[in-house]
Amino acid sequence: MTKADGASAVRPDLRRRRRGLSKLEQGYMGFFLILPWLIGFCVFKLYPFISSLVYSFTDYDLFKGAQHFVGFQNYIDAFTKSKNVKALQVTFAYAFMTVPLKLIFALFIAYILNFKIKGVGLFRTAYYVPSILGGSVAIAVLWKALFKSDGVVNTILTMLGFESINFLADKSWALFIICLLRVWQFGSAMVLFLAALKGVPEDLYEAASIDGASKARQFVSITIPLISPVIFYNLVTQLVQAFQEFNGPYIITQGGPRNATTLISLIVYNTAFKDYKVGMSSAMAWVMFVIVMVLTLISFASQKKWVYYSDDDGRG
Amino acid sequence: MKIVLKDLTKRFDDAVAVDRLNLTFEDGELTGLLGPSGCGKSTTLYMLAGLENVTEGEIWFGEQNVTAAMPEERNIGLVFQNYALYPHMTVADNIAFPLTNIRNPATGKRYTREEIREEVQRTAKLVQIEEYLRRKPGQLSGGQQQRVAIARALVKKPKVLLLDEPLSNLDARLRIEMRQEIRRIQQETKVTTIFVTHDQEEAMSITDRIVLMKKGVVQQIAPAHEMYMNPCNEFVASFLGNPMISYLSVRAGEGRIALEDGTSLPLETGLSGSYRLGIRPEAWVPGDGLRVTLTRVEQRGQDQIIEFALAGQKIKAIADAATVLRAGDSISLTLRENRCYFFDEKTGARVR
Repeated sequence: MTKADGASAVRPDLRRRRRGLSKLEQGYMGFFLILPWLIGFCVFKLYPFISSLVYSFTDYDLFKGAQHFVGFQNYIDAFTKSKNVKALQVTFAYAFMTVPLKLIFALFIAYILNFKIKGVGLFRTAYYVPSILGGSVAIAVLWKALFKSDGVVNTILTMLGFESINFLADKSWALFIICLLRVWQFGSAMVLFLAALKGVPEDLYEAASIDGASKARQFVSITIPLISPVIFYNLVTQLVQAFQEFNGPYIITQGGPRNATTLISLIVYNTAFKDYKVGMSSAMAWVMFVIVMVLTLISFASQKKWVYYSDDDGRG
Repeated sequence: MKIVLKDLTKRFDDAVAVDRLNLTFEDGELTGLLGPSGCGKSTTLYMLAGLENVTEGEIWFGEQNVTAAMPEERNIGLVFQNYALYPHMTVADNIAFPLTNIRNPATGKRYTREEIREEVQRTAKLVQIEEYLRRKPGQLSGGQQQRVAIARALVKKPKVLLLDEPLSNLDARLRIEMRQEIRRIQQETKVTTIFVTHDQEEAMSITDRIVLMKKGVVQQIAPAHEMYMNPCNEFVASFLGNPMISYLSVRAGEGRIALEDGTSLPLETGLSGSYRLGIRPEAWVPGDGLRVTLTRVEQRGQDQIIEFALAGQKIKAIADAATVLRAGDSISLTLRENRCYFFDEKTGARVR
């Protein structure tokens, strides 16, 4: 009798383990390995997600907890209370101003940076920097320092002999300044565009120039269709991000002047942590979620009309 | 339209891709630009198309100097090696694309939708792809894509049609079919056509004339048959013909040639001295002459390629298919004088 046999005779479980894991055990092992992520997801995403849906039908108060089930009252308030309706309008205005501006700007810069010029790598890096810094609170503070009434921009304006503008106190300017901050962070969209532009085969442009197409025509008829999947991707991600914007208006204008920059995200925050109405806040968050989802679905549905994927030639 | 190249030169940094090319492409002719890769034939084509800048020299389209003209000003059609069809457009839109950028020479105005439709139909019919007009290029076979590429190049009735290795992406059978098609289309449209290829068989089969290039320099310009029968140097002789011409170092004189191993063959040359002798495979015919032992036999169906050693050199010849030969067989051959070429040992230039 060999040593191994002896051991297995005493400890049959050991012998089994030595053969490797059974199918069932492999399944458990898989779960075990993703457990850290799974716990994180359930605690920080799934649980708040579901509980906020439940809260949105109650009068949940930050200190008193939920006392009554209120049905759809919070949702009715979301679309009737003037403060909320205004926030919806501002959010749409914000999203429909920033997303196209940012996409156009990102594409424009990517187009320029795609030319073979000296030192283009340096420019590419420089233009990407705002996107690295962009989301941070520090940049929002910097933005405020630039555009406040005695800020850098106004100093320059007065030096040049113009009248200074109270950007952050003016209703129409304030939202524009907030938009500008987001448009300025075009780097990540630009990098994707740049990669897409590089993916367009050079010989198609050669063919187009033989076919007599001007640079503008080439851009419209060849570049745009061939990078349309990336345009679509940028559109959807930017749309989602725009509706979630919080840092900019919170730090720079606190939603003012007169709620001109109060986005839904600010309402959600203020309702929960200033008015302590978590139920109402949850309802607003869900309204925002549904809006973003509907817009995303519309975007996806529109793909058939204008997005070209090389792998589904003619079948799309 | 006649095309004239005057001292056309292209340099990339220090490398000379095309060296002082002087050429005339006759109106309505199909000319093959032939040569091994890197010989400058594609560069020449792209200079003709205007996609590559000219370093020195001139390009004349008829009475017009187009050396500095933009591609879109030259009124040319170009078929790319990989076709470069617009993948997101239907076949019809691909063919229509050139028309949407130019004015109709007949009316002087932009093409109307109806005119475009007619022109697309006409061209699609010419290249026989009418039934695929609604498809996208990705749904077509290689041969069909090629037809679309030709249609797109021809739809605006260009003065010159340029084809860059148009058959290299096709399988062998389709290649033969398409080259006949290119010939047919060219003869129907009578457009001056320049065809770049590295395949001698392709060039010989459909062109009116061949321009054979090597390292940016033209070696010989002649119709296929003429170039095969009268190669001007060793390179040309080697490049044309399959199986390839075989070479021996010989001493000629007094109606005989002497090989390096002392073998002597009767061959009236009128030359005396040392030469490189090129012998086409079909120069060897059965007859009471040289006795050789075959080292290799390759069956081709209609004939067989035989190989034997002569004065230490491998010689290829063609034998007819009547008797099946095998390696090790011993046969007797004589040399037909009119398929033997003598080249200068140093320069490779043809002496006789």
